[in-house]
Amino acid sequence: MKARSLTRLFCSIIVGLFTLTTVIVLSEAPACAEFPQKTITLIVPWSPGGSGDMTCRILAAQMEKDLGESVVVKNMPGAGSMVGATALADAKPDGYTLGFLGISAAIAQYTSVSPVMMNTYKAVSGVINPSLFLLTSTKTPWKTLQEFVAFAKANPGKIKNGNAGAGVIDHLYSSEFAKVAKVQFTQVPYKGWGPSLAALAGGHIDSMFVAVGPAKSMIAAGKIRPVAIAAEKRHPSYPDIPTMKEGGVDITMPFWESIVVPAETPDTVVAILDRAIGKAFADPATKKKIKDSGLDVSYLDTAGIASLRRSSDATVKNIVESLGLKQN
Amino acid sequence: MEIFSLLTAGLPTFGNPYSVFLVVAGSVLGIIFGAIPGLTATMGMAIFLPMTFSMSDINGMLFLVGIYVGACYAGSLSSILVNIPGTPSSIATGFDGYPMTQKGEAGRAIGYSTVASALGGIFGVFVLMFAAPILAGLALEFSAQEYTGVALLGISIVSYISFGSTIKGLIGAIIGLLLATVGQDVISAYPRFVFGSKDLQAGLQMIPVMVGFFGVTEVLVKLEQVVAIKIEVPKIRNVMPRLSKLVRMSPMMALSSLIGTFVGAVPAAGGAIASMVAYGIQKRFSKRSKEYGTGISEGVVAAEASNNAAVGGALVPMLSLGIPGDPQTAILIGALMINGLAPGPMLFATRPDLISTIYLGNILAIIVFTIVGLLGARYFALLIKMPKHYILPAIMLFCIVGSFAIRNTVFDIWVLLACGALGYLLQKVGIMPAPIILGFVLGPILEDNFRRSLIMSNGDWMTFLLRPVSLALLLINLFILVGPFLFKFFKQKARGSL
Repeated sequence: MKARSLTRLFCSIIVGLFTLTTVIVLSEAPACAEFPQKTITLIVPWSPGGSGDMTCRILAAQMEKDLGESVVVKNMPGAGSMVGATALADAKPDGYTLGFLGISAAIAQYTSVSPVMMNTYKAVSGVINPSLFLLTSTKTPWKTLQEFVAFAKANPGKIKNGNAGAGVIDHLYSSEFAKVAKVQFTQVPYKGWGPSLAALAGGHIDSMFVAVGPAKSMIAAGKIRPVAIAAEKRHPSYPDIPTMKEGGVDITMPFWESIVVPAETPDTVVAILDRAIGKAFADPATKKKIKDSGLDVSYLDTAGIASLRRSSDATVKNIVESLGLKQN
Repeated sequence: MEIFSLLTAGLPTFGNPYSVFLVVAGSVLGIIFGAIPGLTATMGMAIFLPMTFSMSDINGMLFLVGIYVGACYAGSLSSILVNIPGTPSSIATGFDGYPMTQKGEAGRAIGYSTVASALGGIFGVFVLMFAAPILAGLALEFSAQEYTGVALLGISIVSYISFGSTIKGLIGAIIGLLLATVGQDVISAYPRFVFGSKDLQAGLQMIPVMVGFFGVTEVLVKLEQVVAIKIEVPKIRNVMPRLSKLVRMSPMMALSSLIGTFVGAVPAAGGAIASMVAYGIQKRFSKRSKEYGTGISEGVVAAEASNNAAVGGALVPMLSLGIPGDPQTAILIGALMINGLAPGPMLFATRPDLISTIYLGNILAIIVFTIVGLLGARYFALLIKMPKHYILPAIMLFCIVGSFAIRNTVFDIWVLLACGALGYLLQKVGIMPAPIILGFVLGPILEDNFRRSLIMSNGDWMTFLLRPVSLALLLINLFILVGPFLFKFFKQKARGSL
């Protein structure tokens, strides 16, 4: 009886050791082989269903086809993308954990009480959102940027400009607009663009600076009016809407996201990932999906996004400081 | 005529067995996600969202709507059976649902809850079909001042739904309001009670807080009974509600559904507030007011009719304006977007078949949960017969998994456990979880909109009185607060004059 249980114990130890060795050998294998060898996680610091989440899901599905491994989207919303940024900063720099961090993270590194600075991760590719539009409620009389600015100048503080929350990108940019155009708004913060667009459509606020995607149906319904776009060029879907520069306010509002990895990730891995993302954007079916969904994002390569990040960082820091939002 | 075409345009879809299968599968999945404490409708929809990418737009929507509707119904099951709401909108269901279970009437409670959910849900869909444009227009008229009024209404309801001591109920609500202040505020981005922590800066999340106060607290309370080893075995019978009683309840069901649809249609209000307000109002004006909370079917019906009607309500701003009223409809909008469809008035003109399919799919999902609920009530109720030493660890496990899964952060598990421990201690001194959660949900709505109103009016407090809807809401609030005293006063006076 005793001998039998000893044999059993011996056998299980052998089996256990064998399994352990196999596991170790298998998990060590990728180091010498071609990247990638296992599932890649893409941390999205936004809730499911939003435009950032949708963009990542479309890209992840296409990247899988190119990389031959699954790319899993993991939502970690909170604190202006700092919750997701922390998780990325703690991840191994092996290219198997990616993050989707953009201008909100650039802002949050100054407004957060315990920030993840941008130099802890490096950009693989840029995912450029369409520029922000100045939208007004159709209950207001202003149809052109000139009329809008003229009214704002004559009535300081009369225009109620909605934003998606204190310290959110449109709060920063609309404040910058006010500075450049030498006008004054009453800023009304909401929690996200959904509620603020509803308030604009209802005429409770007068104007907003927002990506046109989520406003499309309400523009079509005649509740909201696009007035100007804060970009170098006009928007292909709204060719009649002038740029802000054409309207006399020289300002652009770059609105970008980026796929990033921890800073120590090898450049060879970054190059493989960048190629996969570039290919995903070039794929005709994905292109159509991105266009039809109104996400309208476009690709920027590693070098391009690096320089955009640098210039954006400086701009954002200045605005945050002038608004008195700096926490650290 | 146009409405008729909106009903029939989607019919051909249901000739396709795959589409029907997707609604049924979605509803059943939704029921599972809704019934398990800690897992929510939002989570279920987010997990299955990527699956819909490979489906046609219509099939994808049917699947997600099925999950949404199923989960909203099934939240009541765990509320009734183990006193832990499966979703925030089924908190009010437990007020009478669980006492019914304790009296051995679990089956009857599930029966009434199922029928009320079905009728409320169908009511919501019909309002959505016939009055979406009007209701959407009304919802748009709501500005910060009106939101403030609605949030105040919710807080006033605490005095109705706190069983036992009103003072303790209000203390609970204040604890909830205080917990809601943690984190960076929306209006000025000022970090409050953050102590340099990024996790606290993001604020406390709804799910870990709710599951902590209800789930973990309940597990801890039950643990005391495990030690005493006493397993009660209630009999499950009379699942089918009596028709005569249902007919008698129909006016209150209609009122609850109406409240549910309207509150659901106001973006960001949602089923949790809808069911609390409906329950509170029914309790106040019922002849059996004193019996509410002791386990009467009226209480279950009041809550369930309204939170299921709120589903139809929430689809109103989503479909007609493209505004998500809650996280679930945000996912539905995402699913439409990925197929190149922007919800809004244009969608009614360009894709009436899709709109119609969503309506019909919603009704089919209601039929599915009615069948599952009525036939399965006996088996669901078997759960409470299971020995506590199996069931409690399982519940605890789901609470932890659910809290973690909402944002994939371990911090939320600590929030869950802390809230559970706090909830247990508070329960010992008679402060119940419901008012705490109500305060927690309403806190940000009340604070943000109150401050927003004052920003918009340049600090002029008259803004709350000068807007008719806001004024009306404030008067209702006043009536709720002083009404009971006035009634008493006049009654005594009338008696005195005799």
